[in-house]
Parts: sequence; structure tokens; C-alpha cells
Amino acid sequence: MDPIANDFSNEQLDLASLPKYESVAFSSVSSKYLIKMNIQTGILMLVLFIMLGVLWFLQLNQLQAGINLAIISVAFIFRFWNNYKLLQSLGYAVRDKDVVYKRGFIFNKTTIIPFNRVQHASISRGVWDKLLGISSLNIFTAGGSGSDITIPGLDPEMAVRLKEAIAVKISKDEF
Amino acid sequence: MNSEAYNTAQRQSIAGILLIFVSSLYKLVKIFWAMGAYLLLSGPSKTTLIYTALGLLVVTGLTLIYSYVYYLKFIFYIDYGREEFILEKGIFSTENSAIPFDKIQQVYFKRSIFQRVINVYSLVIDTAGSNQKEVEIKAISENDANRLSEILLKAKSEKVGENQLEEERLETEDHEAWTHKVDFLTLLKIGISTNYLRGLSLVFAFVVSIYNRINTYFKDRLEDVEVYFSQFSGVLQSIGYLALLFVVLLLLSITITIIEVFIKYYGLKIQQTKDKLEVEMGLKTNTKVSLQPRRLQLMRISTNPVQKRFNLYEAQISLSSSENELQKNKIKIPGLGKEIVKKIKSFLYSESSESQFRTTFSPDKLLLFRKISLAMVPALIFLAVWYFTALVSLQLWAVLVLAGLYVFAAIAIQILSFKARKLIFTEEFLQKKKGLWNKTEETLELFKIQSISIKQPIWYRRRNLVNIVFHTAGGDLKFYAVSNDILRYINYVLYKAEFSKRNWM
Repeated sequence: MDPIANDFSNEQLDLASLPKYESVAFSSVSSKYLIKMNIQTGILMLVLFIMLGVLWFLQLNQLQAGINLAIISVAFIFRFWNNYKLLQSLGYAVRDKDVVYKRGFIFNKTTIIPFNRVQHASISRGVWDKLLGISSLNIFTAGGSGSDITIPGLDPEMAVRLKEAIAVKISKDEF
Repeated sequence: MNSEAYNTAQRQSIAGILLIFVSSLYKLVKIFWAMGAYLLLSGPSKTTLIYTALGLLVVTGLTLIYSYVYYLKFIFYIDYGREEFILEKGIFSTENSAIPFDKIQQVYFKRSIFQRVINVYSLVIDTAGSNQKEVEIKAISENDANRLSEILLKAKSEKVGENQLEEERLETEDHEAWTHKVDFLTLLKIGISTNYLRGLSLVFAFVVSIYNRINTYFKDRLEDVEVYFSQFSGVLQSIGYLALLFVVLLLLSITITIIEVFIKYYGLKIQQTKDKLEVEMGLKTNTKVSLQPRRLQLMRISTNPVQKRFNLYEAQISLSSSENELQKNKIKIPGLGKEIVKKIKSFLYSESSESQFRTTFSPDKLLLFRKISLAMVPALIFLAVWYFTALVSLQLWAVLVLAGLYVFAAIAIQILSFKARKLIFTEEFLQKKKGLWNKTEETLELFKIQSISIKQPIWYRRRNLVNIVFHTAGGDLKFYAVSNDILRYINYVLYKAEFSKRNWM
């Protein structure tokens, strides 16, 4: 049995008066992240176009190549548009007791991690991140990969500050 | 008792060489058996056979040497100064694991049939919660296993006791509260009533394929009317055979399930002591696990009408663990009576079940619509196959009757199972109920969540629906297409997790 905490009380809760996660003000991430996504999409598009070109040269006729080109172009226009929408939908908020992160335009997903469940936080930077001067903040819990979050496109200083803030919150909650 | 026992390098029991030898041979056989079979089937010459035999001898000899060296290099000891259990192993690449006492979660024994024969135990030290893998000493004598686990558990509880208010008591001080044993007859009942659907579908698939074969066989000869008539009695006979085959296969599948159940759950015993629940089971590998309420993350109780009649419920319990070992830490305990389930529940969840509120959520009709549409896909595929290819040769009316029956059944099943789907919030718990035939009930203590995800695809937005995923250290609990009134309760769950001073593991 758990020992009863000293400050234990058990008043009736009014559900409506609880703080609402859905009404927090989200901070958005750097627009450099859009550049990163677009560069990555662009490279993929380039590779596909080159492959198509080679194929066209080898065995496809004009019509087939044209149809493929159209399909790929439409798909990538959609990807670029989606990148743009994704950036707009990205947002994070740090509350006193938890961190809220939302992403996705077509499939919107919001994850809330209480600080007293965070195992550790880390900062990661890929090649493009370094070139563009942004960082990603990873927050891990014990709940498996679905439960962890990665906030991309943060200003490096901001990422470090957030990480430190989380570290402080974790250690405060431990005892 | 010597408090510094095992502080020098220890090796496994000498019989361990045999175990390593046999298991590495077994691994080799597993890798190369196809090659061997190919060699034998290809009709080898005498010289090849001799060379192969020589090669095999050399390999066996090398394996023996390897086993001995591996045995020598497998060293474990306790470093009392640094409060760690240390294990070194490996010949070519050495692995050195050090487990701090306070990271030890569980210490338990396992035994395979072979280990039983050479009279050794596997001692497993679990280090859940961290990313470190578990440590297993595969061949250790009973005496050593008992002493080592006792020392480790004691060291752990002392270490943990320093940091934490709640002190875990030693096993020896516990007194038994109750014991539940699952007997032979119950196991038989479980064997009969679980998985028979799987067996049935297996049988069905087999019969259909046989039917198809016979069908094509007759179609080839159908033109020849005389032959057809002479074979008519043959058809009747073959139908008789088919029926017999069906019964035999059904019995076979039931037998296999029963054997499976016996191997997995033979000697299932649950024992409640003061602060934990000991579960022991298995014929091939005897596993002992101790459940502490603190470690519990998610519990699932399932049954079906047949089992309910037998008063059989199955509990699946997820314990806290590291990410990579989720599956391993799910323990299935079948064959529990209703009273036992109640006892286990009241032990694991010490909170009073009284609640100031109890709110039930059901999914939106959109989910039903989606499920029904999904269920129609097989029917459409079947129709397409019938219409465009010659694979299925049936009359129009037969197709219509079949399709109609399927659609009716599918819709009925979907509607009923849709109605059975419920998410219930109470003051301390979250419960998800689902299932038309296999009824399952998942229970989650609110403060045990790790995080919550709320998903909203773009087409949910207008109807104000969300998908909710509660992440726990023992797996996720999902509930789809629910009205966003639920967000109030999400905030409540978050409040519970953030406010609670209790440790989630």
C-alpha cells in the first residue's frame, strides 16, 4: 500500500474548471524547417525526374513519359503544398506541468507529455539542420515510440533552453 | 550468512558446457539443415559423403572447443563496493554488463526441458525501465541460483529502500494470502474453448482448396458425359471422405490447441503474498514471475460466451518495461474464475472502486460506417473475381445468395460490435470494453499514463471527432472516432498524472 501523502486532500473536482490543453497558445517553429522539408522533397523529386529521364531515353515513348511526368509533378506539387501546411500546423507549448506538441494538417496529431513522465530529452541536428541553423528537440518517455515526440525546426538556443528547462522539471519531480 | 558471497569471479555450473555445446550445435543445424537436406537429396557420391562426415566431425570438435572456451570466458560476480552485478562473456567480441543493484527489477528462474535433464536453471535478471537488456545466466545449479537471487533481491531492496519511502519486504517475510491452481480439467477446457475459431478457419481453408482441386478435376472431364455418370457414385463417396476429413481435421486442430495450452500453461499457479502476486507456469520452459501492483500498467480481461459458460476468464497483464521488451512483459494467465479475477483486481488495484462519476463514451456512427465499408471490400473482390475471371464458377443466383448472406452477416456483426465498444472514465480508472464474441475489457489506472495523443484527420474536423491514444509503459490503449466532449476527460487524466506523487513504476 502506498503511504498517504502528508498534503493529501480529496475535494470534489469540477471537470470544467481544469486547465484545458486545447486552449493553450502554441509557439510555431522556424520557417527554416520548411526550407529543410522542401530541400528534402526537392532532392527526391530530382532523383525521380532523372530516373524518368533515363527511362524515357531507354524505352518509353512520348505519351508514357508525359503521363508519368504529369503524375510525378502533381504528386510533388501536393507534397510541397503539404510541407507548407505542415509547417503552419506545427506548434508546441510548454506548460507548468507538461509539454504539448501538435503537428500535421491532413492527419493532425497532438501529444501531451507530463514532465513527471519524461525519461530524458535530447537535441539532435542533421546535416541540413546544421546548414540552416536549426535543431530538433527529442523528448522520450517509457511509453514506446508512439509516445515520444520530436520537435523540429527550433532555434538552437531555444532548443537548449527548452532541454534545460525540461531537465530541471524532471529532477524537481523526482523527489 | 556470508554477506560478501559471490564477490569473486564465478563460472556457470560445469554442465553448462554441455548446454552451450548443444545449443550452438542446434543453431548450426538450424542454419545449415537446408543445405544438408539438399546434399542428401541430390544423391551424393561416396567421397562427398565421407568428406561431409569428416567436415561434420571437425565442426563438432570445433564447437566443443568453442563451448569450453565460452564457458571459461563466461564470468559473473558481485561488486559490493560499487553495488553492481557484473557479467562478462564472449570469445571474439566480449560483452561486459554491469547492473547497479537499484536497476534490478526482477530476478527469476527459467528451465527448458534440456535444462531440466542436465539439472541446471536459467537465472534471468531483468533491468526494466532502462534501455539495457536483460541478463541471463543459462546454466546455474539450483543452489547457486537460489542464493544468488536471494542476495541480489536483498541488495536491491536495501538499495531501493534507501531512496524510497516504501520499503519492499523480503520474500521470506511474506505470508501467503491465497493460492489458485489451475487443474488438468480446466486446462482441457481452455484448450477446447480457445482458438477453435482459428482451427476452424484453418480447416475451412483446407477444405476449400481441396474442393477447388476436385472441381477442376471434374470440369476437365465434364464434357465426357458417360465418364461423368460412371463417376457420379465416386463423387458421393468423395463427399463422404471430405466430411470425414473435415471431422478429423477439426479434431486435429483442437488437439493441437490443447497440446499448445498444456505446454504453455501446465502447472499454472498463482499465489498472493503480502505485496506481490507470484505466477508460475509452463511445461517446456517453466517461468516464474512476480507481479507487484506498482509495476502494473495495463490489464486486459477477456472471455467469450463458451468460456463464460465454463467460468473461464483470461487476464493479460502488462508490466512496466523498457521499450524493446514490451511483448516479453505481457503475461497471459488463462483459466481464471470470476472470483479469482475479482481477487486479482482488488489486489492489483488497491484503490476503492467507488467513484464520484462514471462517464461512458461511445464511438461516432462514422466509425460504424467505415467498418461496414471495409467489411464490404472482400465481397466486392469476390464479385469482381467471379465476374471477370473464371476462377469461381457459380450461377448468378448462387452468387447473389452468397453475397447477400455475407453482406447481411457483416453488417449485423459490425453493428453489434460497434454497440459493444465503450470507453468508461471513472475517478481513478479508464476502461475500454469491446468485442462481440471475444469480449475484452482493458483497465488502466489514470495516473499510469505516459502521454496522450489526440489525432484528428481532416475529415473528422467538421464532425468534431477525435481519435484518442493513451500511451502507457505497457502498451497503448486506443479509442477511435469519439466526440470531442471527451477532451474534458483528457484534461482530467492529465491532471491525475501530473498531480499524482505516486510512482508509476
